[in-house]
Amino acid sequence: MSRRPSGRCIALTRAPDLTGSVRVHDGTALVMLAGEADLASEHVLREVLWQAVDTGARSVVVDMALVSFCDARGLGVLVTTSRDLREAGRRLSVSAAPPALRRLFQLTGLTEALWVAPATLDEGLLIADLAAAARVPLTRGVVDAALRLVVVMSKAVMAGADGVSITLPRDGRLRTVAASNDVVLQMDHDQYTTAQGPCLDAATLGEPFSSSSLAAEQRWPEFVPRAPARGIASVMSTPLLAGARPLGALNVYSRAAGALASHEQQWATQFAEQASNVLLAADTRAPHGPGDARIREALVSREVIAQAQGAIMTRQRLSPDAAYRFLVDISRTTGKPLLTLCREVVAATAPHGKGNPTDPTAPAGQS
Amino acid sequence: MTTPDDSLDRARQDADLSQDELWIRYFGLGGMAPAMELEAVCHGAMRTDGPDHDRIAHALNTLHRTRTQPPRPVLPRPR
Repeated sequence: MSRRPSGRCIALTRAPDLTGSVRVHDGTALVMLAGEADLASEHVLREVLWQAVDTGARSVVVDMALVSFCDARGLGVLVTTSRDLREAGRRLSVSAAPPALRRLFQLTGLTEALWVAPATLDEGLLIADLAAAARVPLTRGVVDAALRLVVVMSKAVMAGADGVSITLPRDGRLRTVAASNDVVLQMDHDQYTTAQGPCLDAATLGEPFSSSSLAAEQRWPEFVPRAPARGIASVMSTPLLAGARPLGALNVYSRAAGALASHEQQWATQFAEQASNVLLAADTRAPHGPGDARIREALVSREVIAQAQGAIMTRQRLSPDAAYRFLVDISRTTGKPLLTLCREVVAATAPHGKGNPTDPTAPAGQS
Repeated sequence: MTTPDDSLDRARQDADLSQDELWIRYFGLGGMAPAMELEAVCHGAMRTDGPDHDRIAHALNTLHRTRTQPPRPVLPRPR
């Protein structure tokens, strides 16, 4: 059985209403909470967050997927800890908060203060598990599939993003190894051919480069005039890093100026960190093994299901879980494998879908 | 919300699936729990929510459908 030695539980705190555990993985302290965070359990929340802070990790991620209730006292502890960490140049983020808690954070204006991240930001942490479970190194094929997944997930959760790509040096030059659509592929290509632009600067200098309005941009005079023809008005490129050494860049393009909210810009940074983690865990010199196919299959399956889930969420106005159940129910009643069903949903939803565009989830007469 | 028994692990053994293989299938279905936590869930040592239970059940049931042995379906979580 695979184990994650660097992710072992280092502390466990219990009370009747709330349980919290802390583990450290890749320099991040992961706090898992289950129960209710309120006046009665405030001391447990405070204790478990202190334990996470004491690890010295630069980033503390609080997973609230199993927290059913959080009152003002619970919020207070989170906000206080977040502020203390920020003052020390570290940060606290909340992930996987259920819809009710997410609404609470929005209503109280704490979404940005707590850096509330969607559950998909945990994606990258699972890639190492995937390689361990399949007992294979992360080869280039697996890495590329994992990076495509990061691109799909980041575009799905950032409402202001119209396209996302990842630039890496390959064979002596910068190339796009993952892109959410053709427009961003062309935007990247424009920068490679003009030898200027934010993605090149981020990938080579290791610093973020962005332009909230390309129409007013003075830098990159060869590249910028090409953007309007592609329908792109703003861009943000975040470096992928190994310490201070640049590995590449994650590029987010938008059709509107100033489209990315500040919390989405922070998410972009986190997605770039996830992509960096994948690259750092990679051993691209390793030969391809039989486990590669299983990993690639799992990554592709996950990508297709996430895309279908997103389509159903948008169309039916459902939560991620409800959309997943909707798809599983149809798969179960029709006997059609979930992946096959999701491929059909994605094909039918795509603007230029190939093959049979019939949507198997549409009500009769509406497909 | 709870699965306090090891029925999932028995279903996994019936399917002749290693814990690692089950986790890869579960991951492919969009599961977010690390491998170690999935093992704990299968053994009833940890609780999971409905969608995650559905993912595990679906991973096992899909495998049953592709094999000739009599199926022992894993039930989805009640709504």
